[in-house]
Amino acid sequence: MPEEFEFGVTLNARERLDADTISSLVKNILDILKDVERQVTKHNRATVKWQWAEDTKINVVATVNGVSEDELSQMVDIARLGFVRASEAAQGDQKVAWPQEYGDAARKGAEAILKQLDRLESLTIEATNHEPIDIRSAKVETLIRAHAPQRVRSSVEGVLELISHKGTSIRAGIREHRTRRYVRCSLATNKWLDTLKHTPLWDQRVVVEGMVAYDETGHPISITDVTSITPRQGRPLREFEGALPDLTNGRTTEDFMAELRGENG
Amino acid sequence: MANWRIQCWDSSLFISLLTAKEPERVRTILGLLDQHDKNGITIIVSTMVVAEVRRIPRPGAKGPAPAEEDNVVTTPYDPKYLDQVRELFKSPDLDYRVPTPSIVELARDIGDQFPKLLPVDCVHIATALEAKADVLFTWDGAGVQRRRPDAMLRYDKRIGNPPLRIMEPFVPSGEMFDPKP
Repeated sequence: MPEEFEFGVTLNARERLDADTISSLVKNILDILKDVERQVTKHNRATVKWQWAEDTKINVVATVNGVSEDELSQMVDIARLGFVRASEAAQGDQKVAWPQEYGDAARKGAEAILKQLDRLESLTIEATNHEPIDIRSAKVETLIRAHAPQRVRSSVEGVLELISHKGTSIRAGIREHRTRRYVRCSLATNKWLDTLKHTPLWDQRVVVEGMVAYDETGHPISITDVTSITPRQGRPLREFEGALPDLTNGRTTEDFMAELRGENG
Repeated sequence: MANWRIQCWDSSLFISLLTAKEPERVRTILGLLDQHDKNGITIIVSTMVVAEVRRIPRPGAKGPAPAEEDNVVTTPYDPKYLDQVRELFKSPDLDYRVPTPSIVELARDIGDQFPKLLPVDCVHIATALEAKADVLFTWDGAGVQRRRPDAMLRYDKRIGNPPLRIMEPFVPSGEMFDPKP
């Protein structure tokens, strides 16, 4: 039985969808699930907390429509700049020098996003013609810092899924074997791109070793600084029956185990 | 109620399978693998198992002298030995669990409460608890009336909430025939 239950809708469109459509889609999905929950549980209130299943990456794009190419370029520059300024303000604990073109609505939107930092590891802002920037602290009304989780060198096993590749980072996900939990996986392009091109690892069951962060319940949530990705392909266990008859040197399994574990009796 | 579907296996099952000296045990393991093939059971394994399936000194082996630590008499070396063990632990039948910080903390707490248990056994038990396994299968401490204080089987129903079953392997055959959870 999986530990996570997923519900998803994919809009297989022939063209790019409006950002408004996506924002409505999330609301519509939650409306459906909450209504069904109330019917199933016969309770008046829906209590299940649905979480975003994968990397929470929301990118919107626009082509020249209604504004010029220069204006579009300027718009994404300025949108990015607001976040840069909020991040810079945190360094000196100063007031944010919002770009002039940031009106009330833009400022409130940016602040709402930046306030999420206190429950994130970081925020990544991407804009055309700029390298992605990682923000770990920002000044909104107060100073908000992301929480860097404690990471340990460990491994995660599951099916490797490609999310996206841009610049210096390949974003992937690992769908954990058995629990079907999703674990974010960040791979350095310069280290992994060639291997991933030449070795069939995507959509395969693999063991990924790197620095793993765990949530408070002990489940892995993300893995970075990946040092190895090994396909989990082997023979069925039954084929090893009697493969090493002399392993225990004539001892019974119990005696062997006792000796191996240094008899503590 | 436990239906024995999520099982944690310790090293003794792999050693029994590899040596195949005890036909009854091999039959049990193959029976469990039959159930696994039919998606009936999940086999959880702590990665510590990989470190435990290895050679040990021959009984009564002397030494070693200083600087001769790698020169201890073990089973005569067979080049296929390492390959077989490596291959065994690549098997997709196994669902590995690494000793995560929360597992080793739990193992420490178990060891604090039951000090005769060895650290590695505490890791197996903590792994089974963390995976919400229905049972931890082991032959550690089997076949004797008076079990060693560190034998894992002695700790059946003593650890965790609900208490973890630590039992000799058996092939689940249905509620009527299986041991009570």
